[in-house]
Amino acid sequence: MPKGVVEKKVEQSSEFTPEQFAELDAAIESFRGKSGSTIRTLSKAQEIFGYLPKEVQSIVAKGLGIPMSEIYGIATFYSFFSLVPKGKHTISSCQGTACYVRGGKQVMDELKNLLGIDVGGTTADRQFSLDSVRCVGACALAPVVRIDDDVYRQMSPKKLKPIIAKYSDSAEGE
Amino acid sequence: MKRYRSTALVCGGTGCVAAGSLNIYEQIFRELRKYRLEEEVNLVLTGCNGICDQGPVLVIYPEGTFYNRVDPASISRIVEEHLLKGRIVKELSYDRSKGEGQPPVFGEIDFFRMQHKVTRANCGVIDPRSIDEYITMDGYSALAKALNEMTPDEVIAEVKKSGIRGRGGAGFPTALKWQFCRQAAGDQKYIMCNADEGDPGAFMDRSQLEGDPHSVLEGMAIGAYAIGSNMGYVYCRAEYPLAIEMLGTAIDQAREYGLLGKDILGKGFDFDIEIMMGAGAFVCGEETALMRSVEGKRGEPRPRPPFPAIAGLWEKPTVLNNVETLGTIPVILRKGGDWYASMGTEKSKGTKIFSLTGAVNNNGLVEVDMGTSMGTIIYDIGGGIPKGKKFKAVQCGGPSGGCIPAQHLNVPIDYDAIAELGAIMGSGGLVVMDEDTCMVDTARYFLDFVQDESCGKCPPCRIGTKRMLEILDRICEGKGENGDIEELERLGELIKQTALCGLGQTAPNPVLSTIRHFREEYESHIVEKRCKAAVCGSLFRAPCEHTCPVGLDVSGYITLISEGKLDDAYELIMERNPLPGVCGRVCTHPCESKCRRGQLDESIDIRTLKRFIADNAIKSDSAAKIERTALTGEPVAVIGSGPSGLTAAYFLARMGHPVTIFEKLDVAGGMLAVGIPKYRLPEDILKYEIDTIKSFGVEIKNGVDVGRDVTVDELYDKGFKAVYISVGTQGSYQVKTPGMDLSGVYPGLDFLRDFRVGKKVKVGKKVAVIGGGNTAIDAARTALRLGAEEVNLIYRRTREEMPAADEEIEEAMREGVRPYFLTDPIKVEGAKGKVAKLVCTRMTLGDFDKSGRRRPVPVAGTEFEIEVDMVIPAIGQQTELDGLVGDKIRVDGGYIMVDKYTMATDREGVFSGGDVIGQEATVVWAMRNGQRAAAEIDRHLGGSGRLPEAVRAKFNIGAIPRQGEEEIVEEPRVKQNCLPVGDRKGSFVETELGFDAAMAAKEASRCLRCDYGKEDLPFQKQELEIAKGK
Amino acid sequence: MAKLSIEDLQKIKDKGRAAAGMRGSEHKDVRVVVHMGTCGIASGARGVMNALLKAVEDKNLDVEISQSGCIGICDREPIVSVIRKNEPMIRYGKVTPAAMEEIVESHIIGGAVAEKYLMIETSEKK
Repeated sequence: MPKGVVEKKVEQSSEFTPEQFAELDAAIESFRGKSGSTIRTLSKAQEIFGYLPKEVQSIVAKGLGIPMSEIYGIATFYSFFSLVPKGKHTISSCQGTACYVRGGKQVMDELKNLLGIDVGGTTADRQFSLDSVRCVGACALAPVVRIDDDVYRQMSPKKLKPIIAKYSDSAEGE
Repeated sequence: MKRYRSTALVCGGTGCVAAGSLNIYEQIFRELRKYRLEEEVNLVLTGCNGICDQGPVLVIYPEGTFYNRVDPASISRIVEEHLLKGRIVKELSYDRSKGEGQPPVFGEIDFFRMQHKVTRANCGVIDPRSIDEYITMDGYSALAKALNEMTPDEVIAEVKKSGIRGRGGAGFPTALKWQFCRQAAGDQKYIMCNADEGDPGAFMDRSQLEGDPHSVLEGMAIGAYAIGSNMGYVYCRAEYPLAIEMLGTAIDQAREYGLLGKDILGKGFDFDIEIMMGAGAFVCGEETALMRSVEGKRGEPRPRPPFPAIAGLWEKPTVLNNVETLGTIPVILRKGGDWYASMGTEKSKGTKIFSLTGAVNNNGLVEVDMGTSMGTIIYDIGGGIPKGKKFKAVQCGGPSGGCIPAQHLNVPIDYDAIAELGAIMGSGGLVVMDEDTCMVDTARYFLDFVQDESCGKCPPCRIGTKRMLEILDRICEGKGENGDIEELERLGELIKQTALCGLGQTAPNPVLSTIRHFREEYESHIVEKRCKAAVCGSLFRAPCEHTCPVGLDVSGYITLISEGKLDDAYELIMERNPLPGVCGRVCTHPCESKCRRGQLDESIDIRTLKRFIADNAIKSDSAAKIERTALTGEPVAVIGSGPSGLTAAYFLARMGHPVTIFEKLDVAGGMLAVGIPKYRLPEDILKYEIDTIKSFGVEIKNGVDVGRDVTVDELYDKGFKAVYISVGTQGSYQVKTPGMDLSGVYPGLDFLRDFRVGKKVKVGKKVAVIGGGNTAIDAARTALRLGAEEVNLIYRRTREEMPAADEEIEEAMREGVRPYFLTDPIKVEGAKGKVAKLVCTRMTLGDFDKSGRRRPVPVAGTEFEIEVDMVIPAIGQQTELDGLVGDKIRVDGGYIMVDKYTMATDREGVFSGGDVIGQEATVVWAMRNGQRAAAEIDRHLGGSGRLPEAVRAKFNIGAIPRQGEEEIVEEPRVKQNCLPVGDRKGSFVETELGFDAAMAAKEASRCLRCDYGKEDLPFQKQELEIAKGK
Repeated sequence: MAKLSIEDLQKIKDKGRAAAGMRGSEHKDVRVVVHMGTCGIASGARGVMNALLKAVEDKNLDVEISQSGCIGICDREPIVSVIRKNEPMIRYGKVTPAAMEEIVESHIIGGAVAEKYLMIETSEKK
């Protein structure tokens, strides 16, 4: 399902460094001509830039010799890809069945409330992005919240604040 | 830290303490000192191990020996023999052959004992990063066997023999899939592993890949050999980084050992594997979509045929198997297809892994033989439902599956048996749901999921599920309409038949199956605007109020307690409940089970707070301050003065109708007066509340037996315009056990009633009470108070299944009632015509019955005798309707049949409620029936049918915010004081002592005020709209 | 390593069995397994493993430490299994780093089961 993302005017490439573009070129080079490599190229691109702005999609399209429409189609099809910039940390609240029946919805509501953003949004300071994830396969620990690569088990609205605080810039380097 | 040679665990749970475990503990302690063993043996008092009828229980480690029913004599021997000399005392230890249930062994719990690990044998045992450990466990020997000794056709034949069906969901025979692919034309073929595991709630594939990745690689290599492929792909979701890492390590190791690559094991077979990462799309679990995704395109499905076995990945013949299937292939080849097929049912062979989650004590992965019952998985392995909640249903097969309700817990794990119930085996996700789950909301959740994941290619799925979701959204918001359920069914069937792929075709399943098994819950949302589980937040102010059968504004009166306005609180309660002192003592408080505070620490003690207000009202006669309505309406007759009749009469009077209650006995109050003992409900409390009801314009005529002294027709002749029948269930259910005619047998209800009305009641020295309900507990505790030396409580199931209130059971045991759980009487034996002993048999729990409880079955050869001189059977009650109803009113099974929303019987103007309609037999439900009936009778008599509702607004409760700190800290509920156990014998003084003002204020301050800011949802009003619409 | 033959496979198996004490008895007196599947790690198994490694190093113990996958009962994670020679395997649930230190003291050094942390029937504390 297309995610209905409103095309955001991509900022000038000043947002990115020449090194990043060089890395992308190298990735495209290594994937070119290999069958079925579009998704992998886009994954790599997202890893480099943090998200897939139009500019980057267009480089991938040209590089792999695939129409831009197909690149856009793939980028919007998979929830893994993001067309808008992500925060420094990604907070994903699991909304899988087990998490849902154990209060995952209330946890998500509280996250929205605490961060002041909706699912798919990023805080103004670009610290946090909020995502909904369908299942991280840790159902026995439901409800779970994932922040970057750390999974937090048996969450409740009450437990969120101190955990998020650990990730905010002011807490780092302590 | 001290080092001990042995550890002795003595159970300190309530049951064992009642059976004398504290004395045992002290005795062991003394004996240990005697032998100077106290430095060597660590003596520990543990929590309840849940098999109280085996108590006192002693377990000794490191041997893990379980001694049950120990006494002082056996303790001396155990300490001397076992702890001193190190010899297990066999004859005192638990003997499984006695059929007394399973002994607990600490640290090796039932969760594992009842499983059969075949596919998961290595998980959690070997180090997944070590290929050598895998090889040590016979790893890759199946591949070696296949390459060395078998032709590809022989491999397929062996797999065919095993009968294994695809574990990913649809259950297609694996061997057949392989055979099609092998026979397909083409030089390039592929084998793929589906590790997309998109079904939320399933994680066995993740665990397999993380814990035993080589099993999957070996299975793929064998499959590749069988179909003639040299390239394989694992499609794994990006959400599983550890699985991808383990898989990557395993592939590298296998390549290094030459178990992947060219000329594997020197047998001329080439095969390699690559990992493809999924990018987050549920539909990619569908095989054709998955292949598109591996090709680097949008993962949209395409119509089949051609099937992938003919034209799959890059249009080449391809086999796609699930992780679990592939992980099982090596063991099938090693041990043989026949061995595998020896497990399971006729059409579903082998074992299956389930991920068990949700409202169940043990969450995790479970591997059992096919054919195991669903109930075994949930109760024996899963350990049942936490917090004593009721099991409601289990969602099987994720968003494509369906729910299986309590009455089908015996269903065996079998592809076809599960499909018959409208669910699917799927990948094996089992999400257990308890009474706090709303089935409509659950269906909406799944539909929302599928809607979101629909790829959009075909309209039935894209648009059809959207329409269904809109309807469900409306229902959950309280805007459901007649015909919605039928429309959902119609759309569901349409989508099932016309959607392009498996995702779409199965998308309506959760909705259709919840409608099939829980239609009532949908109706309740649509008609009554009521969500039984208190989940659909748009329907109510606070869950307590919504759950309270009489709709009490709980947060309202708790707020008023905080404000110190006790008269106001009383007035607010009286607007919905004329018996607050009664309910404050004996209500089963369904409200507390839904209290949101309970999710944090403990629910508010709503019942005792209500009692606090009621007791204060008696002191300051708050009732006198409430305004009375002028009695300008039509006269109404109420038959029976129990809680239902009193409530109906009260509300009718408040709506202006003069009411006469006809009561057979000389006392008013029904079961409240003669069924509930005084130590639970003192007479003066009941009297004050009945007097208050009378003061609103209700007359009670005692000693009138309607049906005998006067008929219903004659009541109409006397000018009554409507009749409410609430006569309850006055007969004791007859026990069929032989010997029940002996002198000394006294039915529980008669026993309680005779004692309360002042008849001479003689109590034996050794009493046996049979039953597990409130009447049984009341009878047992009354017998103790009347001087019985020994009261035995005989119940055929376990304590968990006892219908009596938990706190009552607890108190009974503290007072010295001796429970015999899992015990059933066979006969009463007499001497000289009098009761002498009760012969019993031990029971064990067997299959599940319709209510989802295990059916007790006798264990042969376990008969034993209890010496008694009095037997009180209390296993249930029945109605006595002789001459009362006539032929115009429909009666079924002894119960009066009524419309469940209006309480109307088949006879115009006659309504009925309470225990006599045979539904919920509790005080508060009887009162709800009375309240509903009063509203409907008022409407029948030309009134608005509207109960008064002004007090909350009058005191402007909605504007009072929650007191206390913003940050809520964990704090258990305030415990009310109780009469010391020693003071209870021979006394009928009330046992529970309630709250004082400080305690009440503290407890009230724990309320989270769920009602705050939700003023526009008067649920009573909504309920009325409905009744009108009917 | 060079490519394996079927005979090599058998050799690895025999050697492994001997090492694991399944047939022979070359294996160490105490083996400790920390279960480190996603569920274990999410529950803090890494911290437990570190505490174990540190305790074993500090006290200079001769203990075999190993990691493994999820044993299935994920809500009791982190789970640690202790296998002392000739004794039944003991499973501990909901192990914290501090609990791990106590288990090392009491069970691994002292031979007494640390019953406080034993995996028990119900996950809820009464």
